[in-house]
Amino acid sequence: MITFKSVSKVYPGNITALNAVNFHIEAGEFVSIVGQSGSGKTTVIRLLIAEENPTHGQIIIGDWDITNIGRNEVPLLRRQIGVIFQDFKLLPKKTAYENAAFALEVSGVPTARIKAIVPQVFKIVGLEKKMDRFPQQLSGGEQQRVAIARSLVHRPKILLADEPTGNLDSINGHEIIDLLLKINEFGTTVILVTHNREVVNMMKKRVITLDHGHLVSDQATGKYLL
Amino acid sequence: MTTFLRIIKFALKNFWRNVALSIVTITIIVLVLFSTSFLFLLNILAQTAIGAVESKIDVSVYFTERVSEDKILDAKGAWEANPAVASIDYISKDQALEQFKLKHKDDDAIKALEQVGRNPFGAVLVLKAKSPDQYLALEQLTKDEKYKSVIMDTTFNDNRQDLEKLKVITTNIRRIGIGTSIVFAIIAILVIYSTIKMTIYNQSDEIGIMRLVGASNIFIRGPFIVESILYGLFASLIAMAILFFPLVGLVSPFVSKFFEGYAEDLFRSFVSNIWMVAMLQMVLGILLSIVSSAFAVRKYLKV
Repeated sequence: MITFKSVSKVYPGNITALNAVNFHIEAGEFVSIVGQSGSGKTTVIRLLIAEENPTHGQIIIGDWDITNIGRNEVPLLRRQIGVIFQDFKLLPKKTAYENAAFALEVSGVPTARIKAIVPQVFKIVGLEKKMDRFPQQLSGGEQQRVAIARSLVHRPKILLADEPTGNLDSINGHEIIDLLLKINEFGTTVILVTHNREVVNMMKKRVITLDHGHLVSDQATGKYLL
Repeated sequence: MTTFLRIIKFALKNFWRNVALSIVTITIIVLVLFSTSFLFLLNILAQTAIGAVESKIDVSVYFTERVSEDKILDAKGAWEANPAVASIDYISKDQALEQFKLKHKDDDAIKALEQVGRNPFGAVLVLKAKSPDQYLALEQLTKDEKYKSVIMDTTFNDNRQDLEKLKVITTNIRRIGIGTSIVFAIIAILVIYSTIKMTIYNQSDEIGIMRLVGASNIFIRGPFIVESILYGLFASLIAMAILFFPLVGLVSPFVSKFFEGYAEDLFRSFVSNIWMVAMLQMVLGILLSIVSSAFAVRKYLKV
């Protein structure tokens, strides 16, 4: 599904974010990428959504070599990968429904289809009764659920979660992780980037550990090592 | 189609979100369109004025009272063959009398005519040259030995100096107009550029999310280009409304009075060119907007 072949990313000023990283993720896996700040976790996400190109190496998603993906192909890639972030990235002047529908609107999906899809994803994230609320009327956990709903509207094969519990208390954090596990059960490959030891140890899923841009550990049912 | 309609919807939203900025931008485009249309109007006016003055350059040949009509028509036929002659109007004795009566119906001259008791006027030929430069050729024609004995008098309306002055004035006004239009156009480009730049900054969160969720490049950039097209479109409509009704409507009667009898009504001639002026304004307004917004989008909106 996802293959990193000796991928390196060097930023201007000779700052190495990733150094010859190799891993392969099968379709339907749930993988946590852990490491301390500056270990290269977020760079992996940025490379996967083609926000950046690798300096060396090759990145393959499915049969698609995205190493040097063309600018016009990037939107197509991003419609197949859902992404959620620590800061939710919701539009404050749009309701929960509108935030999720926005992802479909800007991709040219017909209105009738949007009306069919959006309530379904809100049902999955358990917010079907709060679709008309604005982000500031929702708790942090609920806002992250809206972000997850938005990431699911394209029915992506891969869901990338970059520190999704970083701004949440432990109860809300656990609820979000449970939701990600539920989405994974539906067959979506989930890549969770986190430095939350408790969350990683609780799940008993595959863990890839990065340290200063190097892959130092890849355990099938791992624990937070650092 | 869905994408196209949504791009327009997003553009309209951007337009209303920054309505104050939109108004400023439209105002400055109106100024550009107004100054270029003023140039166009001036051109029509200059052509009207030059035409009017040119039409006043003529030679009137007054024949003696007793000369036969055949002789006069013979002179008319001979002179019409000359390449310098544009037209010759024949005013018969009777027509000359009628014109005199009409002109002096309210004064004492008419009484003097009654005392004479007969038609004292001779026939007149009014010669017009093809161009003001050929005026001297007309003068030469009237000195022909064959007709010298029957010509009582000739009058020359030489307005060539006035014409030259008029041409210099209109050329200068046109130059000032072109200069003003260029200055306004540069200001408009800078204002539209800044407006789109500010809109892009204001929408940075939305643009970031659009990129994240896989919006196509045309969907990200399109609304900003459409927004600028709206500026051009609204500006051209406003400029047309100001130009046609208050301005041309108000100025037209004065201009028409000034050129009375020589030129067609200014308002009518402007209205007959309405589609051309409208197209010119719309194309210019939209072109200015697209070019400047394209620069701003290219520089500040990376996809």
